[in-house]
Amino acid sequence: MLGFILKRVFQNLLMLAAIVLAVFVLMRLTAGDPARIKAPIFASEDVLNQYRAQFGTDTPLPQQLKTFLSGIPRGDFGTSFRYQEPVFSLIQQRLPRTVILAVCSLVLAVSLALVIGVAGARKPYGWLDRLGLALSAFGQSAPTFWVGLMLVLVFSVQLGWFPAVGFEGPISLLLPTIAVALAVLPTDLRVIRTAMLESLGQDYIRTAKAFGIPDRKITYQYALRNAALPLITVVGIDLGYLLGGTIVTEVVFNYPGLGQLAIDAVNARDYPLVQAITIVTAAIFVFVNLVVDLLYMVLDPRIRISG
Amino acid sequence: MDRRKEQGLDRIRSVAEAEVSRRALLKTGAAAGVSIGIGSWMLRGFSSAAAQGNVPTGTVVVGNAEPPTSAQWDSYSVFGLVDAQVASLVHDSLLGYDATDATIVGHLASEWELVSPTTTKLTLREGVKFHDGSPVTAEDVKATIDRIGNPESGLAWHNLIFPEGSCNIIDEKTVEVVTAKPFGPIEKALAVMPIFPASEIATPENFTKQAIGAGPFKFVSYTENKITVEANPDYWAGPPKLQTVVLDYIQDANARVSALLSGQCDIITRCSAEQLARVEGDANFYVVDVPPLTQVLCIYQSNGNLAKKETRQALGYAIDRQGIVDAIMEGVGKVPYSSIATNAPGYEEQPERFEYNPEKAKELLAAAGYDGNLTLTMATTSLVPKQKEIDQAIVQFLQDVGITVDVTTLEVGAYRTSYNQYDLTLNTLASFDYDPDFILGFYAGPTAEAVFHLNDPAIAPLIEAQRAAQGEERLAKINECAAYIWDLQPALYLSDELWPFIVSSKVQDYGRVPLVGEPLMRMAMKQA
Repeated sequence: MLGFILKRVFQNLLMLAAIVLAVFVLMRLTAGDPARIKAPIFASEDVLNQYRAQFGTDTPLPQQLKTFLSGIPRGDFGTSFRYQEPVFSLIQQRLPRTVILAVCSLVLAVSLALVIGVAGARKPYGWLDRLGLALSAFGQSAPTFWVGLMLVLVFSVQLGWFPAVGFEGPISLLLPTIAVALAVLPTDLRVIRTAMLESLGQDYIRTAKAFGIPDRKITYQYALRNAALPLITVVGIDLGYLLGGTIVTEVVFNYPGLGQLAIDAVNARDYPLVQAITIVTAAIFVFVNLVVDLLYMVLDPRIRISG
Repeated sequence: MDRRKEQGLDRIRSVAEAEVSRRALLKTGAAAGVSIGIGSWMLRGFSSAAAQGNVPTGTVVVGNAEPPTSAQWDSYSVFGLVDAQVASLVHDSLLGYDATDATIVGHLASEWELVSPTTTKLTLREGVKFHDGSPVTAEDVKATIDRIGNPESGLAWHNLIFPEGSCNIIDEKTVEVVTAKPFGPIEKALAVMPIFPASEIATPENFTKQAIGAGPFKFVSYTENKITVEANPDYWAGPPKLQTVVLDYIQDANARVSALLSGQCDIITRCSAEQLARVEGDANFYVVDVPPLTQVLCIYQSNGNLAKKETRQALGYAIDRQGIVDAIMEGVGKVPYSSIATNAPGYEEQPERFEYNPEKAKELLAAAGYDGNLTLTMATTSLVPKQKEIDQAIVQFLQDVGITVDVTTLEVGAYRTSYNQYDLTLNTLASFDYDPDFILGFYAGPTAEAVFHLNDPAIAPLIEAQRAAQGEERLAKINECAAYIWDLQPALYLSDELWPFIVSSKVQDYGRVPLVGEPLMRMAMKQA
């Protein structure tokens, strides 16, 4: 098992290194000189050169890459061109809010998916199952930005119950959480429903029923444990995706998270900030996937043996 | 309507800029809000004695569509909306504005006199202090002026706001600002040039840490795209009425309106027709639209396919500017018939209006040697509101006269750095000192080459001539220069920007002068 873990960690580190290099090169290949973006359009070449010297973009690319790579082991991702702050501290400010939003959304989505999905599988085409299918269809067809706008219009503008934008404490989390949860709910719901239907049709479930084991215990202790495997995969992907920045939602709610910081950084060609955000989100994604793999091993002994 | 509101309206009516704006706003249907807002705006001269009795209260949150250019507070290096807001709130200048009629009055200088076409003598006001408690001295003024007037400074504002010049200290309370050549807009320039402490100028790295000025508000913080300033109780004219002003960056247009409608925001800036429609007829809001000299224009690159004047003029005839303003910008704009904004001093409609005339466009194209075989490149992005729709309309109009347009969609950052590699790009220009000299400066020297690939030696002398003149003569010279550039058609002068700001009616006495910043914010107050 240790060998498997080490192998996966090594693979993931290689992947991260490739991502770091790709981001570094792609940012510089993309049209857009940070000096020109910061300076007014009519700035003289002298002014532009001052900015380039300040940003370090006047040095050859290998030199820039060397500076960038040498800082990573120390956690030094450079100084933001726009914010004039170490990029790591900027990410430290924003990441917790995105983490909270992602986790809350996921908890809400998974809870709803479990309740509705399991109930739907137990009584297919019952009213709860139909509600689940309707929610699923709505979540898949309604764009997140539209859901966000509607929530703001109704609950912030009309009713005045919640802040429309920004982060003013936990109350600011509710509407973005609902918007994000609705976006990930359909997949979770379909996965858990399908997996539960399959589990409940297995021989061992029939056997358990024949032994007179209570229905509740069969559903939640035996069937759900097997049905949870595909859900864990989906949740792992969702979590990685959401921690990478719930960008659309953060823009609609002006929520000061990592996604919005990423947009600002890209628009400003803030190389150090874009690079650091990409590395952090990629690292999170990779780490979450590693955890998912390990969870699989815990939950499914067959994987442990083959691994 | 009470007497106070009537007085306010009478004063407003005498301001040409406001007249222009109101007509356009009536078209958008936002007039009800305007009348309430303008009516509540008392154009009283600033009374130091009255203000000194005030205890600053309340917080006004301003929702902007853009963040500051960067987290450094050297006002002479940056040209963004928020940069100008910070400069006008935190800093003070030798001259300034106290009322919406844009009359220049003494600020850090109590008196001033134009002693020659190149020299302005100013008497510094007694007892004025910077926010760190140090007095504003002649040395501070000299350090500031010498810095911006130095051609080697590399400052972005140099030459556009203030050309080569310097400051002489006559005595501890008297200075002379001297320009190398006669400079007509000197008073307007001095009214937007913040005076910094000499100690800050000596340690420019401080600009990344703090903004120390002598203005009505003290800089408190810049965190997560929010700038907070608080009342300066020791402001020379008495403390402002507001305790706190927050400049918040809300990127999404819908989010800005939502923030306003839900009360999280008190003012949203540079609004579109859609945003105005959201508050139409709502007595809880009013609209203030006193724009700086701003233009929405489709910049042509005067090399390559558009090197000939006739070709550029043909484009002017080919495109229905009024149609685009009416149908796409929904009236939140005003079509100019000269190369400077319609509210610019010295603006006059030119006899040749380049109005929509596709037949004439085809004739000119044929005369220029193009007969259905002209292909232009265009870059489009989301820099200007409804840019894609406007660009699509331009493409359609050009196709109608036989011009093919290859459109490339770019992300904003890429657009801003590569616009001059395309024949056509939509952009905006604004003057930061309410003087057309700033705009005319784009068309000469390296700036013209960089922005338009334009190199016409006749323009620089025309710019110099209007700079050297004063009064009525200067207005005539401005028009002469603008007319010459208009005939060259280096751009499609699509529209002035009206800069409508939507304001919560809880904010009273909020007014604007035709500048990018907020020099009158100190007189605004907010109901609890």
